[in-house]
Amino acid sequence: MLARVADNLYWMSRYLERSDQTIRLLGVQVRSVTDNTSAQVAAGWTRLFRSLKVAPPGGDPLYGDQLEDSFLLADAYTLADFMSFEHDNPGSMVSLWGMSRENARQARQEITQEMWSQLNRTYLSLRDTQLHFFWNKEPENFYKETSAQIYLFRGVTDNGLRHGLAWDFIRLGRFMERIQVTTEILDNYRAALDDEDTDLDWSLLLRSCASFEPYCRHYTPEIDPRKVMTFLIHEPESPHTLRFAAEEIRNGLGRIDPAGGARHPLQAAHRIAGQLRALLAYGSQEREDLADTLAEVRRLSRGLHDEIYRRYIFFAADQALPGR
Amino acid sequence: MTHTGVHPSAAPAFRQYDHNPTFYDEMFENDGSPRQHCADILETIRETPPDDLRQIQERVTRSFLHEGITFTVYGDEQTIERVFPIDCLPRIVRGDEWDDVARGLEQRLRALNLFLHDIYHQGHIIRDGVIPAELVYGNKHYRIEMRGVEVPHGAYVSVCGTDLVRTHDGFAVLEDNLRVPSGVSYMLACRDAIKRSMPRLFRRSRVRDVEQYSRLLLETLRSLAPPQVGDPSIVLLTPGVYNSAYYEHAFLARQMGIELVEGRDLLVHNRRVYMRTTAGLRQVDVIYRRIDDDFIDPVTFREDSVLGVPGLFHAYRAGRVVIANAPGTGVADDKAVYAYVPRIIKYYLGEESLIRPIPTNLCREREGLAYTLANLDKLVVKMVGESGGYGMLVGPHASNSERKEFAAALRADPDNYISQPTLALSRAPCLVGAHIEPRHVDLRPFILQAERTEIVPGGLCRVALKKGSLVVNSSQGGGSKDAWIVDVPEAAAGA
Repeated sequence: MLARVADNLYWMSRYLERSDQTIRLLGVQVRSVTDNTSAQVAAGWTRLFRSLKVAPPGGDPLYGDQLEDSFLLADAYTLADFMSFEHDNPGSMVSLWGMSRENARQARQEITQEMWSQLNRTYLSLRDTQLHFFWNKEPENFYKETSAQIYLFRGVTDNGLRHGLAWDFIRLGRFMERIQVTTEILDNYRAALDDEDTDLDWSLLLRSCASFEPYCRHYTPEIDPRKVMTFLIHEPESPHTLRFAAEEIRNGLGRIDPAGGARHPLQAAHRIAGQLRALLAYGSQEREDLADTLAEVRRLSRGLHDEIYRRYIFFAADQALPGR
Repeated sequence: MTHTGVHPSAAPAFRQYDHNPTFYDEMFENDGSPRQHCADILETIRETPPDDLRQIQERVTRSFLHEGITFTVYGDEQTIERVFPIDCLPRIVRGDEWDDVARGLEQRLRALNLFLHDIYHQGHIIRDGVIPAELVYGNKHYRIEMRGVEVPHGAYVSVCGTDLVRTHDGFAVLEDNLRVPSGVSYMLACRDAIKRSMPRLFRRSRVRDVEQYSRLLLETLRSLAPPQVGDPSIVLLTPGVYNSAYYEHAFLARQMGIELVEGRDLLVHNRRVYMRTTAGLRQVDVIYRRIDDDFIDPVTFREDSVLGVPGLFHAYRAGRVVIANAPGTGVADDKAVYAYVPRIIKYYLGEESLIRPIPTNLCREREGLAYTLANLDKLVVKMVGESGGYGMLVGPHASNSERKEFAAALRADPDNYISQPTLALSRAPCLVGAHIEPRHVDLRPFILQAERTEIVPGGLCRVALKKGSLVVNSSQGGGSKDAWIVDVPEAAAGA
């Protein structure tokens, strides 16, 4: 497959995953308006913007510490609109979807007609939707239905596209984005773990990570903050945990380049993917190590992205002639 | 001629149909009765409520939007993606008439390929005085770099899209597109959509298939590969996502299962062409290029091009890669050369042109200029080097002062102009709102030529959707419709 097209597929998938995360966080936040106190809601907005590393409307991205101040000036409608439909906000749902679609368009020869059609149709409908159409009716359902369109896209992808290189890069993009965003979400809840007085609703974190049901199946519907953290970091079988993403990334790289992960010396990308997986599979689960673990996941996943690019996308031509 | 079915004006959708015998109507005889081979199809259309037809049209348009069969209009504020308008009523062409056309197209392209080989080698046709040297060597599309280059199977043009028009006298060639003709994806997408919308009518009408186009194109490209290459690696070279035909490029690449590459995906090393893949560099054997000559290789052609591949032309000359169509084919679809095509056919093949040429007056010749100046109000005058409707005078539609101005320009530089009679383009029924009205149409079939010649029965049928307009270009209110080549059973044909 063309290196440029692998790049397009990888980013198509990353933007879509980011859009999925954004939609889910917005859905959770909109739901918390009905369930939680206004202080909790405000804290929720702060966590949302921080997790996604987006500056709120009117806020200056360079002055992250003043983030809270910016929220005093904005209401929920403004914030939700900004994160959903603002074309000038590159982090809004519709912008992310648009970026995903642009990347898909440049990789049209590798994706199926059904994949393109699903992506395109949903984008066109989102582009023509406005917040006030549903805000006073059932906002949470809107986000849920939009989420369902992403699941549909993934279903169409898994069942229609050959599970070859294109599929591998799409999957790689999805789990790279997932591990990075989920790490930020977890980090923004971490402080509350030590705060005895907090009335934080930890089920929100589980819902933010699409893991409420898996958690309840694994433990009980009794929400214990520490168990929630451990689950979202180390549980190997739920698709939205860090561990699961690390396993997928490592396996995916193994499929893309079997030799790179089997023979000594290992490719740098394979080595980092292995470290990431080992950290999440065998690393400490102690509370005092949590900050370090998350920082290490962040560092490794960024390094991994760079190595993937160095190896498969932007390699030097003279090193890559056939027969070498 | 016997009338079949009810007179069409009885159906509400046809009430405003203008039967004007000045123009050949694709569906009706001059007296307003349906043509024999259209009778059944017309009957079905007549029985379909206009509302249903409109719904079909809306469905087709929506499916085009979702599939991304759009062209992009770049504005100041935002870019708009538009769907190429589709008219759901098919244009019907009788099978035996088509067979004649196809023979004519094959003959024409064979002669043009021989012509291209000749002018890039010995130039016999020029030495024999059949065509003036300056018309060939002075042409801006003549590529001196192509001299002496051997092209596989002599197929300089392996993909051709010829614009045909029809009048009461039959089909005629309006122009040959020998460089990077486009539109075939619209033909295929349109067929696909119409088949889904009108499955029964389609089946009953015995329409010839066009779906094999992509397979035939791939076979054509394969047959161009150097013989020593077992399984040639073929790519489609596109200018990129901002090109208005990008959809078509991606569509064809997908249908053929080949890579869709941009200039930046390719590089030349040791006169071999490689593409950058995730598993390193991979050699390329055949390039189906959809970018203009000028942009192929900044080293050889335009140095400011960022679309091309430096060194590509050297690899081509060295025979390490095949480029289709070959560079330098534009010289043969020039408007002045057009006038010589019947003579070119005669010269190389010893045959008369099977498709009627449009009589063309060369203003470089004294009689041609005199005739043109005397009949400016009846003729279409075109500038030789221009395309897309630029530098053109449509005599009957021009004002007196416009004609005067043009006459002055003509006298100053007669070599640069040709003139042709204003054609009464044929018309076909189109759905306009709730009614069916006649609109002018043309037809662009696609001809593939390498080891063999292949022509799929059909083509891109363009429609001037604006009432009375003769302009079929998408930028000026043009649309398209499906062209059906139908075989009439013996019994009915003889009736």
